[in-house]
Amino acid sequence: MNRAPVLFLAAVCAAVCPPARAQDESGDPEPGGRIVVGSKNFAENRLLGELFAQLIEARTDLDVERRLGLAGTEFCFEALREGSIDIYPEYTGTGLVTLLGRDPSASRFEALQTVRAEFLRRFDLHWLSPLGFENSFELAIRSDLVVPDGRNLRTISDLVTVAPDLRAGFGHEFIERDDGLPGLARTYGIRFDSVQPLLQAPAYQAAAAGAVDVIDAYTTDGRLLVYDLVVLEDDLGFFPPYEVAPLVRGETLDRYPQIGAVLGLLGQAIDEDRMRAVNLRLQEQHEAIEVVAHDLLRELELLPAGAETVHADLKPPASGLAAYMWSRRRELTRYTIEHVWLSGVALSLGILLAVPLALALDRFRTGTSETLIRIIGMSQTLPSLALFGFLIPLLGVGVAPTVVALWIYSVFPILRNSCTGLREADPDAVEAATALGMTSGQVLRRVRLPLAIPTIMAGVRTAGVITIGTATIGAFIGAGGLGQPIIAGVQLVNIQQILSGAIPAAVLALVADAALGGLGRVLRPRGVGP
Amino acid sequence: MRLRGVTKVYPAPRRADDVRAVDNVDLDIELGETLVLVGESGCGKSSILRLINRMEEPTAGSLFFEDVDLSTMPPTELRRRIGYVQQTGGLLPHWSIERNVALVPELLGWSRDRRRRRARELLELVGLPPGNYANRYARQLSGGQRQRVAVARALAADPPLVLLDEPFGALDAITRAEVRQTFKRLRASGKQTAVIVTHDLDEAFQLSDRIAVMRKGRLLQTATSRELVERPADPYVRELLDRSGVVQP
Repeated sequence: MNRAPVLFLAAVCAAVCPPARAQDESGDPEPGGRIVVGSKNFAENRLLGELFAQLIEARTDLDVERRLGLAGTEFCFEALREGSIDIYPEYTGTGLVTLLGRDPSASRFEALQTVRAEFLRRFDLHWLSPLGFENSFELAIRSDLVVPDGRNLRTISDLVTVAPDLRAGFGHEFIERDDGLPGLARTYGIRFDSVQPLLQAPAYQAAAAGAVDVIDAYTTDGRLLVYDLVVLEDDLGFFPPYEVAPLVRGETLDRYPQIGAVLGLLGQAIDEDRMRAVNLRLQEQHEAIEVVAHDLLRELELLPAGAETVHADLKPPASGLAAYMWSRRRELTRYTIEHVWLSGVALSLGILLAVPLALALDRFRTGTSETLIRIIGMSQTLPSLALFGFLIPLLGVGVAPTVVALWIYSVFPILRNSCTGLREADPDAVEAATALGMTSGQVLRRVRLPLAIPTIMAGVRTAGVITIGTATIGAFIGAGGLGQPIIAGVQLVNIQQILSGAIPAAVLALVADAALGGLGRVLRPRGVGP
Repeated sequence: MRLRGVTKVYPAPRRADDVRAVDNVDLDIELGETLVLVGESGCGKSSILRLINRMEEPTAGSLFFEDVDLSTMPPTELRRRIGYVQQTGGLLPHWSIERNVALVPELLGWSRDRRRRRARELLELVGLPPGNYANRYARQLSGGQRQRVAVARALAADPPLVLLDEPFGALDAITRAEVRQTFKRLRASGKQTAVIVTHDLDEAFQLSDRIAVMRKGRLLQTATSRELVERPADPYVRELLDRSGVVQP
C-alpha cells in the first residue's frame, strides 16, 4: 500500500496546524481539524449555529465543537475576536449599530457593504453570504388593542399617541441598544407608560396574558404566526436591516478554506417564511434543535448522500417529564458530567486558595484580617454576568472563565470558616500547648489546624453547594453543564427542558452536600466532637 | 527562681488608669519547695505564673531562673523545662491521653518507646491505669480525670519547676480532695519546685511549704503557714485568715 499521500497530508497538516494540535493528531488517519461554532442565546441563532455545525460536519472532515447559547452579542463577538470560537451567525444591523457604533439608517446593501469592509479592516473577521432572510426588530401589539374606540393602529407612528397608556415588555438588549428603544424613542418621539425588561419567550406569554401591551419581536419569530399579535409597520424606516450571515475569523478561513465554500451553500437559501416556520417548530412544538436543523438541511438538499441518517436516532419530543428526560439521557449525562467537572475543579481550586490564605491571614491581628476578609467577601456580590464581562477579554469563553468565576465565588465561604476555625480553636488547648513549649508553628500545625478542620469542612460544604448551584451560569458562555437545558428551556418556554436541567442540578447539590458532610466526618480528628 | 522588682501593667485604653496587675514584686522561690500564691481573683497571682513561663513579658523588673535572666532564654526552650497546669486542664482534644501526657517529651525529641514508657508510668501514678485510659480522648474523661492527666503531663519530662494555676478550682469538693491527694503523692516522690495559685487558703495550708499573699498586684507577705498565723504582716492577711476559718481564734 502506498503510504506517501497520507504522509504528505500529515506533513501539510503539521505545517499548517499549531504544534500542540499537530501532535494531537499525528496518529489520526483523517487529518481534519477542529473548529468551534458559537451562537447567541436565542432560538433562531442557536438553530443557525447548529445548522452551520451540521453542514460543516456533513461536508468536511473537520471536527466541530458547539458553543451555542452564549449570553448575547458582546459575548459572541468577544469570543470570536479572541479565538474561543471560530464562527457564529450575526446580523448586519447588529454589526453596524452595536459593534461598529454606526448610525442605524442604512439600506440593506449599504449595511452589508459597510460591515464587510470595516470588520475585515479592523478585526480580520469575514461576513460570508447572507442566508436570504432579514430578521429585524418589529413592534407587535395585542390585537385587542388595535381598534380601540375606532382608532386603527397600523404603523409605529399611529402608536405614538396611545403609547403613554401602554405597558411595554422589551428584551434587555432592545432596551439598551441604540437601534432599539433609545433610537426608536428619538425617531418617533414615542413614550410608554412602563417598560418591563423581559426575555423574548416570556414576553409573548406576558402579552397573551395581558400583562404587557406591546413587545419587541423579530421578523422571523414563529410565534407571530400563532399569538394574537399585530406587527406595526416601521413607517419611518428606523430599524436597520438585519440580514443574517455567518461571521468567521480570518485565521480560520485561511486554515480551513473549505468552510467558506461549504457555508456559501446556504447563501440566499432561506427566506423569511421558511425561517418563521422553522422557528415555530422550536418555539411552540419544542422540537430538538438538532432535529430541526437536520430537517432544514435535508429540505435544502444540502446533505450529501449517506449523511441523511446521522440524526435519525433523535426522536420527536416525548410526553411526560420522565420520558422526556430518558429520551435526552445522553445529553443530560454529558451536561451532568460537565457540571460536576466545572464545580469540582472550581471547588478544589477554592480550597487550595482559601486554606493557605487563611493561614497567611492568621499572622495578622484580628481586626486587620477581618477587614481583608470583608474585602474578599465583596467578590460574592459581583453578579456573574458582570464577572464574565471582565473575564471574557482575558480568558475567552467556555470552561476557563466559568471555572475562574466559580472559583472566585467558592473562596469566600471556605476562607471565612477557615479563619474563624483557626481563631476560635479550643483556647484552653492552645494555651496549654503554648505554655508547654510548642512554637507558634507547632501550635498552628499540630493543634489549631486539626481543631479547625470541622469548621473548615463546614465552609467547604457550603461552598460546594453554592458552586453547584452557580455552575448553571456556565451555559451563558458556552461551558455546558446543566444550565444548558435550563437556559434553553427558559428561552423556549419549555418547562420540561428547564426541569431536565434543574432536577439533576438540585440532586447534584444534595449529593454534594451529603458527600462533603461525610468527608467532613471522615477528616474530623478523633476526639473532637461534632 | 527569683523575681526582682517585677511589674506588669496592662494598658487600659478606655479607662484613665492602666491596670497594674503585678506591682514591684520581689520573690524568691527556693529549690524544691512548694510555694502557694493566694489572694482574691484579679490580685495578680496568675500573672506571676505567666511571667515566669514568659506567656507574658514584664513591664519592668527581671526574673531569674537558675540565676539566668529569663529574657535571655528562648521562650519555647524555657517553657519545655517548666510544667504547667491550668484550671481547665487544657488537654488537646484530638490527641490520645497517652500522647497528651507525652507532649513535652515529644517536643524534646524523646524516642517513641521512652515517651510511651514515661506516659504509662505517670498514668499509673495518677490513678488512671494506662491499659484502660491511654487510648482514650479528653472528652471521654471526667473533669477530675482530665485534671489528673494535666498534672501527669506537667511532670512528664521531669521539669525542675511546675506551675499550677488553680489546678483544682473547677472540681467538686470530693474530686478536688482526691486529685489533691494524688498531687501530694506525686510531689512526695519528686524533687520539683512547685508554684501553685489558689484562692482557697485551706488548700494553701495543705499543700504549701510557704505561702505568698497577694493583694492588688502587691506581695503582702511570704511566710510559712505557721508564721502567717502567728505574725500576720498586714491587716488584710489577718482578715483573709479570719474569713477562711482555717484558724480558730
